[in-house]
Amino acid sequence: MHEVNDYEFNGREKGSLQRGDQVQFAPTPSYGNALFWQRVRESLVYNYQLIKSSLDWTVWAYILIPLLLVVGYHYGQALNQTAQWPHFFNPISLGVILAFFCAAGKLRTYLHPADQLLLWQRRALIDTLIKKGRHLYFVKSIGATLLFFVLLFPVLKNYLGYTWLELVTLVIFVWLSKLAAAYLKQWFDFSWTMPVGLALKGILLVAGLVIFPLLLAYFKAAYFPGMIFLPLSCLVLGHWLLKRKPLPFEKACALEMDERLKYVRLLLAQTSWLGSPEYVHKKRSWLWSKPFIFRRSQALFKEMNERKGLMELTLKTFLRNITWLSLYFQLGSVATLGLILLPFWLKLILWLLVMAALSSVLKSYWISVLAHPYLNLFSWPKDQKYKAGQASLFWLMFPLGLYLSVLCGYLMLSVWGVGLMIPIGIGFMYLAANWHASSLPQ
Amino acid sequence: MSLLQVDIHQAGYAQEKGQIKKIRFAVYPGEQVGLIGPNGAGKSTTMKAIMGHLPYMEGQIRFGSGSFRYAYIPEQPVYYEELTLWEHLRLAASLCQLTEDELLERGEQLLRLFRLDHVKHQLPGSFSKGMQQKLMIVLALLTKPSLYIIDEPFVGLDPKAMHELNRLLDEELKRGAGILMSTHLLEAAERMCHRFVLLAQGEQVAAGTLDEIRQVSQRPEGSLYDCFETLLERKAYA
Repeated sequence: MHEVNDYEFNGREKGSLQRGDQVQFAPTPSYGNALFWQRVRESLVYNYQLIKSSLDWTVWAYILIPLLLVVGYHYGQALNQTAQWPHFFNPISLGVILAFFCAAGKLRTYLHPADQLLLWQRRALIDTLIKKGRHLYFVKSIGATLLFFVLLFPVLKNYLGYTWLELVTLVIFVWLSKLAAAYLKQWFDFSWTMPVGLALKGILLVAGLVIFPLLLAYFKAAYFPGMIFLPLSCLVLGHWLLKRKPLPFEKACALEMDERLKYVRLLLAQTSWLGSPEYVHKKRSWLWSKPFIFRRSQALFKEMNERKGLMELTLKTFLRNITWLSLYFQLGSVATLGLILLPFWLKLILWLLVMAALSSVLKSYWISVLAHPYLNLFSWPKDQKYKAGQASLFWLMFPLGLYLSVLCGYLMLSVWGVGLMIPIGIGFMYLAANWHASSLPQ
Repeated sequence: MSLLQVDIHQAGYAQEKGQIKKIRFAVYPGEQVGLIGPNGAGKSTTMKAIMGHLPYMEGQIRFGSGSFRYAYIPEQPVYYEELTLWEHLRLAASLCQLTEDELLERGEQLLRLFRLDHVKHQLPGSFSKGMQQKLMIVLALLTKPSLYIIDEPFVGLDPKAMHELNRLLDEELKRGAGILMSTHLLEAAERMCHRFVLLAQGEQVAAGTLDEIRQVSQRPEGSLYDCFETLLERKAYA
């Protein structure tokens, strides 16, 4: 009997199997460990190659190194208490930042779709991969939390007056919250359909956005045992729920694939700036048999013509597409955070940048809608594409654009600012929609 | 006056890679033309070239004049994942300038015929392949085009749907529409089509009625399959 050990199974280190060998796979714990570390290694190499191919010396020379120098300079100034910008931090803004930090990060399973060919039958190996993935996240989250607090240290110590004891308790509290959030998020992903899971994750984030500022506003190290109870109990609950849940293999693979390819997608999404075709990542269809809005196919417009048809297509598909919708809300959340935290004039610059980014993102969406092969199924006049594009882009921009204009105006000049920024915002959206629509191939 | 005149000198996905060449035929009102050939012969590429979806094309495609309109039924169903079946119909009707009444009357009738009426507010992603294929057929029939371009129409259809499709296409032929259909089912093609265009390795091997193809292949009593085999063998040895 030829026993296949870890190395032979890989077929690399000691050579591959010979024809006629009798094979007995041994799902030993050591093999599970080797498989796990091999996948971690592959993942690191993959990300390294990605970084190497996307960041050439010009990016380092002109963007990253100057950026690091500026950050280092400001960090030094904050350490010496000569910087002014940390005065913008208060318990509420800090709480918001910490809530977003805790919400970021995912437990990885390191499963591949092809695993169903072999690992499917050896559950012990899958369990090892998942368990090891959690252990790794445990260590990674400690590192990430420490690094994050090293960056925040001057602000917390010098400007917000935290004592060492308070700092240490806060680090432990944030680390446990980050772990608990990761466990609960994986349980949401595994147990619910995508929209429900996303909604639950949204609720978790909102809860964090409420709890963290409140806790920090009344923070005292003496409250530590009480404070620690909340994330710790969430962590135990998340762990228990995940342990009870049978592994949804396909879903776990799809989520792992999404996580593995997120940087590639980020890069590909930028390629349109180089004149290449627009890249739009499409997640696997998560939709149920009926849509969650306009469930009885209610029409948005009474008239039936090319322009209204294309507008209805664009608006409805956007409102029902979770990928684009979440991108829209993410842009809104980041912009809200930035507008609250940044100083006066930078708010206006950020508003301008976000509005430009929003119009650009929506233009990509419009292109993806028009490029769909469905529109090649019949010949149609195509003479209203410009007008339909213009109107669709404007109405898609409108809710977020108006909200950001109102927020920016209010934060800058209170009620007068709102009155000023609303017409400016609407004007900007109108011009951007016109400009983008006219730049599209007719 | 033809509905479609095809004169492709060379076409493909890139200039240096011309995948189809020397293809000439026409489709007239009330006529069904079968585009026939083995896998990889260039049937789908020819259809794409006709609809102008190929990046490289040398030659001419002429469509009928006036209110000419074509509809394409692809082999693989295409649909927006976020639109319901009825919204797909409404979108097609909007783009092809149908009225609300025409959409209601024709759309409901077609959905009933193809037994899709109970899922009209559902998303096609949740349908079986056959139901998705029926959606493609309903969309084409809804727009009442002058020319149907159909790629493997019977793939995934149940017998009743096949029968309904045949019947409706017959009605459309009587109305004066033309049909260009690619299929592997040679017996069905022989029964349904008036003329045939045989393709092999991206080139036209023969074109004409069954009698004309029998003459070219020198199989006076042969079926379409026999003639097709003979012509392919001859091309292989040429």
